[in-house]
Amino acid sequence: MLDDAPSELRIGTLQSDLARLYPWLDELTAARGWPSRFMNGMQVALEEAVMNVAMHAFPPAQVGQIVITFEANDQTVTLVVEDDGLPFDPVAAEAVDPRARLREVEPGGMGLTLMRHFCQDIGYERRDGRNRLTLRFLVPSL
Amino acid sequence: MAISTQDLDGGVTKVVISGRIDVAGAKALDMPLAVIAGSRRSVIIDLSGVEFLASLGMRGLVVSAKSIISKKGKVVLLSPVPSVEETLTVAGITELLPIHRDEAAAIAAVTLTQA
Repeated sequence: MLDDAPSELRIGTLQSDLARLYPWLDELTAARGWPSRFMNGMQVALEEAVMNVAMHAFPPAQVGQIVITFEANDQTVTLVVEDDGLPFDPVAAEAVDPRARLREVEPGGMGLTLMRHFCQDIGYERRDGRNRLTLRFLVPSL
Repeated sequence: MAISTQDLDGGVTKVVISGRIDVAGAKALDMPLAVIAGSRRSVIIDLSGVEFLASLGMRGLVVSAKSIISKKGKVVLLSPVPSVEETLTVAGITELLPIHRDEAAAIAAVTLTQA
């Protein structure tokens, strides 16, 4: 019953557009009664994934397009973040100790650590000129 | 997202942030946090009313904290809710921005000793 067809959100990489993430995800998950801690992790990981694309996949001043797909069943949530920007693989980005990163305060610095913590698994592929990042979350048993 | 400041005794400033520090909230925090970081040296950031914090918002907090610390100031976080605390801890920023749950302890932690 809750094994829905995938839902899709298309947004630009402007910050005003990125803010549409949260209400979109809230609407899709409102009826599911998932714990707030699980919802929080999903939102943190998705914000990170999308900010990575906005900051790394397009040259400065170029507005790119991001397509996010949400698919869920009772066990798993899959969020796919796709864009047609420059190749950017956040999974291959060196997993540096976040405390070392603080000295540099790089944008995106804490990202992979956060995504790895909240996701069951993360996959990246470059296909047909597009970046495709798949974040998979295990739904906690209620 | 809302932010306000209170001046406590001993030159301590308490910054109270509430609501969601998402992409929009983080952007709205940038300027007030920069002003605080530029003018205060003993700062408590009360996060008890913050429902959501992710990477962009943490970057803003880290930039401000580094600015305060670089001027020999001190800054701590007060009472984040569990989900926000988890995000802060995983990101590894609690070394730079220690978490306190008691306001008196937070005040003691940021109070500068007179030379």
